[in-house]
Amino acid sequence: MSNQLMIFADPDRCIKCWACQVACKQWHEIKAGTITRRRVIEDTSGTFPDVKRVFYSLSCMHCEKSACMEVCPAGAISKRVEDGIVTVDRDKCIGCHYCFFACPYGIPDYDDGGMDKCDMCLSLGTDENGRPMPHCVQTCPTQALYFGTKEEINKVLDEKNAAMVAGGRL
Amino acid sequence: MIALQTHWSWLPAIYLFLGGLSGGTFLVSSIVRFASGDRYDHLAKIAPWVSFISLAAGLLCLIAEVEKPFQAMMMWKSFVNFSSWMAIGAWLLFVSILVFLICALFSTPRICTALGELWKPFGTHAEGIVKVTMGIGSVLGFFVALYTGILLGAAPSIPLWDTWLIPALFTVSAMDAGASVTIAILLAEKDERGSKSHVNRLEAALLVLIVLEGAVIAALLTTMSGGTLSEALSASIMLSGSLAVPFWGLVVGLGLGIPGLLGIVGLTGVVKNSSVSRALKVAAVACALVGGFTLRFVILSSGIHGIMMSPDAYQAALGIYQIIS
Amino acid sequence: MGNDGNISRRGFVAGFAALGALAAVGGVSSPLVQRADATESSTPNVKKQHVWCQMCGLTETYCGTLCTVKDGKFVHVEGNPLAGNNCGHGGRTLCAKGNSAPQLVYDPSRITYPMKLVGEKGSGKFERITWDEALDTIADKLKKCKDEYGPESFCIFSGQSAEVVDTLGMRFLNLYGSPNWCHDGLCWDQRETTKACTIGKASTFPGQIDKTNLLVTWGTNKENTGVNQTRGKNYDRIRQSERGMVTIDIRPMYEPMTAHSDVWVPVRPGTDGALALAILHVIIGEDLYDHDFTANWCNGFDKLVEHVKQFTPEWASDITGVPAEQIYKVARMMGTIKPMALMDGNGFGDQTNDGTWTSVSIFLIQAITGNLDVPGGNGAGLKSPDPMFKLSDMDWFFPTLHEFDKLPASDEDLKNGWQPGTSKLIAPEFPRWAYGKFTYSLSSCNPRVLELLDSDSAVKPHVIFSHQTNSLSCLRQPKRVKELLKKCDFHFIMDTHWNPTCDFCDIVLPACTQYEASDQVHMIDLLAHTFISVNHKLVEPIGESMSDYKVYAELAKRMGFEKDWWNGETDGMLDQLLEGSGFTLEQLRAADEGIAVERPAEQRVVKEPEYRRYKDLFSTLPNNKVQCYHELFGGKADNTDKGTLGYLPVYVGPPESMASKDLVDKYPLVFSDVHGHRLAEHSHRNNLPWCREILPYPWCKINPATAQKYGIADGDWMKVESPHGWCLLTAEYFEGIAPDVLMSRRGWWEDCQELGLPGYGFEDGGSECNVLYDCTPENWDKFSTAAAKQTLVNISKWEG
Repeated sequence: MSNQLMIFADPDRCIKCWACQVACKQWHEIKAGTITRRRVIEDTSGTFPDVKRVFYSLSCMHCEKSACMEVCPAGAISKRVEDGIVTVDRDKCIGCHYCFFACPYGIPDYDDGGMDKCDMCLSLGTDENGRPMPHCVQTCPTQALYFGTKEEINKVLDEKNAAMVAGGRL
Repeated sequence: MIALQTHWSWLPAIYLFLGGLSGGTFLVSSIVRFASGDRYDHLAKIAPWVSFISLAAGLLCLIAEVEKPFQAMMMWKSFVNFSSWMAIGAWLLFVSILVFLICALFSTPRICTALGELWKPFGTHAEGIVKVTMGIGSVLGFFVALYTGILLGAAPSIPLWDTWLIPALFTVSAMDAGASVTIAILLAEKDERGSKSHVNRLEAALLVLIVLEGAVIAALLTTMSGGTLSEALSASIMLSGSLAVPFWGLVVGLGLGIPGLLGIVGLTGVVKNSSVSRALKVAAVACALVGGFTLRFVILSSGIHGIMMSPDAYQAALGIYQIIS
Repeated sequence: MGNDGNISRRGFVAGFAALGALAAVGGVSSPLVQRADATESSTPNVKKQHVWCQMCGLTETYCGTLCTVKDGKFVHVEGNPLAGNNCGHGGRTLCAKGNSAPQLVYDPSRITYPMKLVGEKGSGKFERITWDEALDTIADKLKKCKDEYGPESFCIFSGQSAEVVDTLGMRFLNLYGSPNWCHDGLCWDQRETTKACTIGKASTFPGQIDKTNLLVTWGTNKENTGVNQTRGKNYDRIRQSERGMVTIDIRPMYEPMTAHSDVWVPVRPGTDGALALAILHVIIGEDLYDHDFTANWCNGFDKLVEHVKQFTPEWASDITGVPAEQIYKVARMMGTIKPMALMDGNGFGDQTNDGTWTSVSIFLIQAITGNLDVPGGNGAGLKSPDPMFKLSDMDWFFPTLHEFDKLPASDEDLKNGWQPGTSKLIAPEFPRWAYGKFTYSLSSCNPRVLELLDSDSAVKPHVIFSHQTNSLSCLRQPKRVKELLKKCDFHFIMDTHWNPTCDFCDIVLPACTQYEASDQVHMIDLLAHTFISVNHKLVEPIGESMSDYKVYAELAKRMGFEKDWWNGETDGMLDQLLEGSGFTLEQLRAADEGIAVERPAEQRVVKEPEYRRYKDLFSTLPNNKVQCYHELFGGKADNTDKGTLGYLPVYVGPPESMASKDLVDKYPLVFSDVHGHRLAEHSHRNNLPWCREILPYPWCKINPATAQKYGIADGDWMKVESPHGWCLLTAEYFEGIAPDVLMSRRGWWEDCQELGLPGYGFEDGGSECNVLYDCTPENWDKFSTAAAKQTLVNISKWEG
């Protein structure tokens, strides 16, 4: 769908500062030591001194074909038509954890109220265009998280790639 | 060190095992009952109850596992999305439990009589009800066993589970367990000479099942080891990693090796002392059951997402977002 | 805005305006950053107010934040889009610590009432008292101390500089008659003062990073401190790297920003001096230096040329653990790629006992390659138009209410031409001759002040006020510090939390956070507008806690200074700052989200500065030149008043290093610790649950191969033992560190009640890695007092 919203985490710009991870918890008033919606992970390869570290800020991808939605026995997960945001109705959710196994990224997290995951901060309101305003995107000090439709994100990537080509980086 | 999967741990392992045990027991015991003209009292009285109780217990384990058990019990609300194998499976189990229960009720003479007194048609059609429920229940039982594997396979993000070999394995393992339980019940039969022949035939069948199960396990781990990095890492957890001891010791050794060995011993009739021989058969059954449960446990615990083990898997999964115009 | 006459520690702030400009002309902008206007909170019980974040402490930030208060509770925080966070790019950006601010206020471990010691120091026996009793007692002691021992026996300890201590603490000392504002001797000031003495007013900070072709980041870790602010420029560095800027990152660990650099030089902790000398050797030896600059603007360049011949990369390789080929490679890059900018950090210069000469060597590399005050080099930021309004008594970024202008000039001061009061510094951080001309302010040094307590010196501290510092985690060798603390006649302390030093104090005062008071005004000048805001008081102070600003006012009243203290009211200070700005305090307090005065579009013009202003930049130095042969230091008294300083840079090395032949067999690994971390701040903030849950235990990064050799698994507790002490740390497997190096973090004394995690002890057997270090005063840097935070250790798996 062309109006599908996405949050894209660019490992070229991430510095694993965990701001996104903490901002998310703060804005959704998630108690420390319980669940986590967004997690900064890292892939370290090589051995000293030839080391490579790549960082990813990992959260729900709001997939085009949401595997979580398919496997939910209670039908608690749905994908919005207007923007493709995948949401969970915690009232319907029985917390069977099946969506965790269906998700390619292992995103769903659980507490005794059911499954919890990113909703692009939809629950906190939308702007005048009806778009949510994800706080992880807003808080990132290196602006490594991009939010928008595929076209909008492409534009940012194009700009970056153009600079990198011109700089001999690509 | 790869961290093991812990979302589905003991209770789901028990549920999967009991599901397989239940379906396998019902199917195998019903085959024997049909083949023997249902002349084995213990088998008739015990086997369907084993199936019913183990399946009901399994379902209880499933419900206890979820975050909201009471809501899960309201099945008409919580298992409604039939694109989900879990929803299909829940109703399949529900129907199976009913069928197993009916079969058990009517296979137990005293209860059957009491039901007949309650409503005459129950009495007159008792035998027919038993036969029908054995037939339907056998089919259901097979699918219950198969379903426990399909449940895992329907979650394609777990490399270890994303293969038809998992449902195949769980089905064979269920038949293995079912045959073991059926043998154990038959050993208690009073009609020793008759039951002995069926026991022998079952033991032979069990040996075949053991070999088959071993072959499927080998096939599974071989294909995984030779596959992608994530698949190989998953397999390595059981072959040489943190679950190597339970896998080789309990699943292979105790679950397949010892029952297999004892089965050969039993068939060749080497052990003459009948009570020792009987004790060995019971031991074999116990080992098989321990092995069967442990198999579910290690397969669950090794079920780790591809991306958690391999950056390539992450990149591949992320591939749709690497949009460069 | 460029550096002008007054030496300011916060010179980097000069870049603020330039960076605002940069945001407009230089960087790649993302259309997806939410620069939306503040969301109108339509519910009556919700309000959003501006507060200046201080999670990184004074030295790195003043991120502007908007704090949401819901039903009287501080619940949310985000960057204030008007306050130019994030290299001036604005937006609502904030780091992990900043995002945890609400947890700071409601931490259950906060001190909520004043207490006095009723047992032995260290006994933990305290009794609750009223504020009046506390302040009256303190005032009484201060008066007696002045009469009996002279005012210079009163010292105020700050650790990392804190605004309130720098301004009002100094003001109080000024009125009281003591110059002994004390700094911890292991931070920014150390190398900044060295810089001022060596390259004068030139900057060691990239002024126009979009023109930089080679960025050398040395001993700096901006992914850990000031993550969101201007100084580290993480946002800009990454964008510039994308367009082709090459980065060389010199530090022991491969940290996140190293992942965005081109070359990593894994220098062994404490050996940067050797590396720098070897680089000078190559640059000079291979004729890669700027002949024009060295001929015209270097003092004694010939002597430096001769001197560095001995410092070969091969010699340095043994010491630093860096292969000689790599030293040649980076030296040649630094000599040939132009323009080159250096970004310096606390990692060299501030925490090694030869920090001064290390800093000199590094700054000289910058100088002799002709990269000072050139476009894309160091300094020379774009010139912004004047701010739309001015605050009075405002130096760069905080009030100049702290001039030591009331101290009498003693005979000794007059004879030596020293700033009045210099003779009364009881334990100067720097040589006395440096004060007034090259230093931030008069300063004594905490560890040296404490050492006086165990000396036969006639001059000792008799009253100490520890304000926003915990000496038992801030300073090296807490076991020694503990013994010294016991000897202080009267020690009072103010903090939000009960830190271990409190146990050795006579009076403990509860401080509130800045979210519970309205005592600070700041402004930020951007190209589009100039922004000003006062801190808004979001909630009432917890318990009886009091603002750090107010406590000085209360003491001033009792000491009879109120005429010089706005009649004992903190608002008077703010009124004075606002004089001439066009704003009143009432206006600022009514402006929940701050006020932005727009600059007319046609005035939003940045200009290129004059470059190479060497006559002015080096005007304070001997011969008006960069001190390659250091005639400012050479032959002059050092900071002990007993020795003299040299003329040319030397490498000394840590007290225990790979060169300690008698120790390396028993203690084969090099140990050091990071100064800053993005989930904590110096030696505190482990109490923030959202940060603590990410790294809950006292981690020590260790190369996996090394750990396996010792039978230590990832996450295992291990005993780490040096010749001076031992502590318990958890192993964190990490490939980005040399096999013979361990790096940890100090400051694990704080508990986190919400997560049920403890605070750990500061003595042997605890988890305070400062117990491992040497603390012999003779080993401290003779110019800057910096002490080494490197040693040799042995490790073993801890079974207990």
